[in-house]
Amino acid sequence: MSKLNWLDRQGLAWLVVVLCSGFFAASCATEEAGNSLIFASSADATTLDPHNTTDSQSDQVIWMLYNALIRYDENMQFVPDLATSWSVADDDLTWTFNLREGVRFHDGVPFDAHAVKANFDRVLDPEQGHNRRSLFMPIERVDVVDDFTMNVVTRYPFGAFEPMMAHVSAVIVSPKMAAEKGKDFGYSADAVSGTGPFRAVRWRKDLELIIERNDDYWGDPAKLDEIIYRPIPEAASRIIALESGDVDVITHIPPSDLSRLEEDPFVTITKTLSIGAQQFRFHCKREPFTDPRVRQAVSYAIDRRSIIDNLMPGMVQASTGPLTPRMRGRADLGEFPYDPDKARALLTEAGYPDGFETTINTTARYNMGVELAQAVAAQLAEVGIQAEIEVLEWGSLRQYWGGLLPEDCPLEIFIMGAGASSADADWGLRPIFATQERNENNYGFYSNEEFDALIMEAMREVDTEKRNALYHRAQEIVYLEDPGAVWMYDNFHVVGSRSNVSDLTTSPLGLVTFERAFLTQ
Amino acid sequence: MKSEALRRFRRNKVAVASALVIIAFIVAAAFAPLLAPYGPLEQDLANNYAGPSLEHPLGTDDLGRDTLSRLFYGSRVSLGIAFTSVVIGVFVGAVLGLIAAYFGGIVDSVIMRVMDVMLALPGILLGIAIVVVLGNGVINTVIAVAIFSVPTFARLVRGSALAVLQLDYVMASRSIGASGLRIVLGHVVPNSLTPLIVQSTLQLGVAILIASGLSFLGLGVQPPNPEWGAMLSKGRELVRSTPVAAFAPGMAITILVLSFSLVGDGLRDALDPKLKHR
Amino acid sequence: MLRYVSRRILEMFLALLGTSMLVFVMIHMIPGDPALLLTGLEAGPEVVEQMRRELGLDQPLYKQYWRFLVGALHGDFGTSIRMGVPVLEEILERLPYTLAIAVGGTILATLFGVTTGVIAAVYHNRFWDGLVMVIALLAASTPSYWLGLMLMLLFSLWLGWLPSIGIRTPMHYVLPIVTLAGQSAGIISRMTRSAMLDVLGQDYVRAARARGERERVVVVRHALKNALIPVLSIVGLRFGNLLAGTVLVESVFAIPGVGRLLVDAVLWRDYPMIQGTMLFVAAVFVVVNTATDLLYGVVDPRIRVGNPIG
Repeated sequence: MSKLNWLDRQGLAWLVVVLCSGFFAASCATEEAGNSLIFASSADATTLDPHNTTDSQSDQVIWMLYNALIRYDENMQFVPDLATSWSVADDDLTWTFNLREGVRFHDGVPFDAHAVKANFDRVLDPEQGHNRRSLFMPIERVDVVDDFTMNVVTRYPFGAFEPMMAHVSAVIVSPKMAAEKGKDFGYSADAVSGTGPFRAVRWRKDLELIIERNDDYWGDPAKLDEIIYRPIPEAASRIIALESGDVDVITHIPPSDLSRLEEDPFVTITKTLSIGAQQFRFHCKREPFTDPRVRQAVSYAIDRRSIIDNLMPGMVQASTGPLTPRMRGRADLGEFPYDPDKARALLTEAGYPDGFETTINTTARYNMGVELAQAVAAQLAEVGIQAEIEVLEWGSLRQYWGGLLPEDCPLEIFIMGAGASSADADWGLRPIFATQERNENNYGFYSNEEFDALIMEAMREVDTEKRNALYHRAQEIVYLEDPGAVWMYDNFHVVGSRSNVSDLTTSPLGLVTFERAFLTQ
Repeated sequence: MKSEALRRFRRNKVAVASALVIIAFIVAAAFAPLLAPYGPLEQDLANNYAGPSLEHPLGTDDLGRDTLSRLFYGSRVSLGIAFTSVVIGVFVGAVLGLIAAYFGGIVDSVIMRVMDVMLALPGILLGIAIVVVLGNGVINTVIAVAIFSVPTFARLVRGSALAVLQLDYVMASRSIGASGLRIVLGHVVPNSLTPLIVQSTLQLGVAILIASGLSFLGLGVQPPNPEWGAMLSKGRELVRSTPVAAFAPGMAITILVLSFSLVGDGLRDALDPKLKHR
Repeated sequence: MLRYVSRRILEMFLALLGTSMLVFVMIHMIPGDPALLLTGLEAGPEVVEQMRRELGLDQPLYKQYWRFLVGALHGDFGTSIRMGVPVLEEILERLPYTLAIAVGGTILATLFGVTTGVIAAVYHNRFWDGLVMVIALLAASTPSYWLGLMLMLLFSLWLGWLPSIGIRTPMHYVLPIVTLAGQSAGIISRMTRSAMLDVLGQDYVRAARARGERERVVVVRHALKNALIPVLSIVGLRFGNLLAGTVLVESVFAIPGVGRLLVDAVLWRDYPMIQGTMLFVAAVFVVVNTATDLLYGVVDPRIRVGNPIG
């Protein structure tokens, strides 16, 4: 011990680092503003570029910073936003928008038809490769008629045009800022500019994203001075932070905490039916799931009521169709009944009287996803289906979703959270169940000719009634006759807030927004 | 010498108590099916999130499984991971350390620099990387934890081996042509044993902690397997609603890891000849 | 001398090169495709393909590595594919948070560990020895995320003394630092105890006692002073572990440090960010290490001869 050996030297070296950095690591305090609200979600936003966003964390900030041409109201009807009125020509292809005058982006650039055109050109440009290009593929071109009138021309009569234009990715960004910042647009607070009630101030990734009221807002100004988005990945920490008053609003509440929070006098729980649903998909090209009877049997063998009441009390409601109640064009086909005898009969009919062995792949990314799979497996065992649970971390599961041929995809039954971000039947059915050779978005290789035909016809149908009839039939097929999935339940969007927070809104798309919110006392 | 060490160890009440705790855990693991009132995977959805009661002394988890039974079965998994990974770590580390010490020169340099790099990349990060590459599961957790402990043992064995190899009589037997293997087995291994035993005992606790850290990040042993780290990791979400589901595995881990540490310390004291006279 | 210096520097670069290759190979062994993760569940194949091209993932591996290496040599670790910001910038921005809790944790752990270690050694094999060691090791035996959560429950929710999460004020750092310190205090305590026992058995300590010096003087002036060197070395070594331990603590207390950055990078297959953070940590380690080796080489020429034990 007297001589310094290598270990000692290395240790002392680290000690030097410690002491040097001691000076470096001063406190990093920031002041707290008066009328500001802290909103804690489970993760940080990834981007404020609407053309790239794919997660709800980003979406809910984007809605505070930008406006689209039209938007959904509380009753899922389309109302004007940056457009004052709109109409479609007789050819069902050309949509004309009259735009609001006197609106300015946060960077001072005036809003007009040229700005809108620049936006759609941006997201549709294959060179720029924005994540949301697929969504806007039905658009052929955007024409400026005059400064405040414009035409959007689709490639074919597109039944889901309005949902597409009310999508979070259809919000309008400042063309000047977007051109200046290029690829960096939306990835820092000084590379964001919209027309919304709030403007971005500061963004330290994984720490806080601060937006403040836009006093030059064209509509009713917001009441809050600022909103601080603070990601807290740990559910338990998030709950404690709310209960101790360190944050004002949280989402992603574990079901076990819900009833306690509901009784807490300092906490208000708001539940809104969201567009998201939890389901299990099948690899439809892999035995025994090639047989629709086997898929039906699995569905009959699951006691959804028991799972919903015990595992997810107050968080969800049983699915009544492939699309959730808030989606346009959805059909109410009733709850899938729990009938183990029928399940056994169907299995026998399909040639599996003693059941079979399979694997359920799941991931903790979905709320209670792992527990759900275990509960389902226990119920499947009752009818002879021995399902092993395999939990995959999100990135590892995700690799099997996209661009694979059936033989390269090892999944059998797998969990899936579905929720078409445009809240419309087209986006909720076509990409996920229309036949694809590789599982680009139809991850389970579902294929049904009649369904395909109906979906393609409905997509080009602009008349709502005819369109709904087509979708109704398509949903009967994929839900009942030739099931593409096991639909479990539709999620509520559950938000917990301190009771001094008033008028926060949960949009139909399940996003928490604050344009009218304020704090009392 | 051996009996004297044993006597010294027995005088250390804390260490003896800890050893008894460990033995109790091992017994619990061995007889889990007899001791556990329920099966580890037995679900009772209608009875989930239950607090302690006569039927379920430690309550139930989100699927209505009996926490006490899962703890009993889980001790098999957790102890299994700890012992297997440490045995692998000791073996691989010892072999590398012996090779480095015996051959010296460039072999020594290469091996030890690789060990340095492994020590440079913090353990849990290494574990994360390994588990993500190999995938989740018990065996991969064992591998990750084992790799984590290899550099420690390699260093330890190399150090004591070098000391032994420089002893006069070892050099003498080397010069009269005793085979390398004989020297290593005859002189080096016995002399490295004491620090190895002490370090292994301490490492057993560390292994359990690393495994539970991986579970926390969602990368360790996966459900429905009742490993304690996985139970605690799930339980932490229930800490406000069903606290016992979190406290039970948390306490089990803490007590077991603490016991390993205290036994390790006790062994060190007992086996260290320098302390003989105090 | 010059030969020695140049050899050590060469070795350092080789070690870094080795690490970078290791990390690179490991990253590409991780199953999963960042392009799929980034483009979301609703993106069509054309978008995913475009993303792959942009990220350079369609290039052969050696080309990707070469591109990374050339960039790294110019101090450019690339741009995070998840966050769209330069990797190095992001690391440097987060470093202060991680260092703050790691340094605080180290200091606290040392104070606590040395104190308890000395007490245990002085009362060797008596009641206080056992009790103190149990207390010192208790925190180190608890998974850090669990300890952090319990502290948060106690001090933030029930007592309301300390803020729960975040880093706005210095008070926010108290719980993370205590949690982190708990992990190392036990090891330092144990090390202090055995070093003290070593020293207390030495002749000069006995001589001091024989001279009739007061016990406190013997313990502090003679024994502790000499026992401190190995203890401090362990403290330094533990610092590396503490940096890693922050991964879990950062998650619990929602601190945007380097640890969380790396974990998120792995989960999102953010290749440039994984490479950058891993290499950054390794580089700091290797450079500091080489520098001290050289320094010792200057001070003590015997080391240059390369005695393997040192």
